[in-house]
Amino acid sequence: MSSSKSNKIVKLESSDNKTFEVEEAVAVQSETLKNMVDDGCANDTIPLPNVNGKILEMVLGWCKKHVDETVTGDELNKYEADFLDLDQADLYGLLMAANFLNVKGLLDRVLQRVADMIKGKKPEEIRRIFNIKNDFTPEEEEEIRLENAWAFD
Amino acid sequence: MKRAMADDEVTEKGEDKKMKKIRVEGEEEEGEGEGGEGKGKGEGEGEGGRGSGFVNLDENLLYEVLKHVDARTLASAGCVSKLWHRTAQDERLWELICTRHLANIDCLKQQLRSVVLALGGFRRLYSLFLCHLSKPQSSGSSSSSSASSSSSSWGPFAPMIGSKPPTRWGKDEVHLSLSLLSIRYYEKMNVNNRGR
Repeated sequence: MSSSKSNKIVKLESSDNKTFEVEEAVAVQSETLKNMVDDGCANDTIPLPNVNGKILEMVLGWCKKHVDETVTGDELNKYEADFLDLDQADLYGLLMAANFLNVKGLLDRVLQRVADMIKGKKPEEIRRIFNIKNDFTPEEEEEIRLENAWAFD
Repeated sequence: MKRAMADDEVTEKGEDKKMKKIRVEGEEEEGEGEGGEGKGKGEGEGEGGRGSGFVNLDENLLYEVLKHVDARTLASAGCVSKLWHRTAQDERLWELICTRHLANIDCLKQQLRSVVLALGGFRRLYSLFLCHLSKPQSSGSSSSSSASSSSSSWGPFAPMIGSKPPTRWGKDEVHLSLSLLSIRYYEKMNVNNRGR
């Protein structure tokens, strides 16, 4: 039985032991938390060992903004754009958190942001951006390059 | 957490600090990033304190990211590493790209999938034919200079398509590219038969 009382509080604890209290309406923007609430598992503090305090605060900020009825469409757009102006480490943390907590709107935005980072980039550039090791042999790499030559002209 | 890791880094070689800077800024031109790679991968787990953590991006999330890129980027991504190659080869991603431009003819999309998969898949369809549709056909040289493996049969059709790429591909463009794909498929098939 899901309670839609807006004054119910959900308590969360990040991996670095910071606690956050938010209204249920805010918390249930996360499908993961929503399921817990619906299943009646949200009465005690919910531990989130995969999300640190900094990132959790950001995610909750996002969720709060999205239930706030006083926020206009334009304000929300600006908020979302500014929100994703992050360094890679935070962006990665946010991606993991949004995925784990399943906050759909946020996850889509973060995925798009990551996609924008690699748009139009050559493979070497992508490797450099994400510090990925090139594990192809020279022969393999040559073969794959040929296969994808159409993309490089 | 990041602060704590930073202390460790200071005690390591100066190169590592530079490396972190490279990663955070994203796009340095130097090749020095290669040097500390081994370390970055090992310690980048979980907290991502050493690098940004994206080096550990798993296949599923990478797939989700690649859903949002265009065709060239997807092809480029396929050249990055073995994991990226595997993920970028996924037919569903190429189907998204091929059908993105399709006018919304639902039954067409469903029929399309089985036909295209039987004839070699969406990735091949795109790389051989559709990528040319996306380029502005301003001169014949653009179609002839592109991949030598691409069909020369596209040449005569280029003027018909016109100089501006259609923003929405209707049944005609779809049928045309499917016809070319199937011709190529059968050409290959005949070659195989002759070889036996």
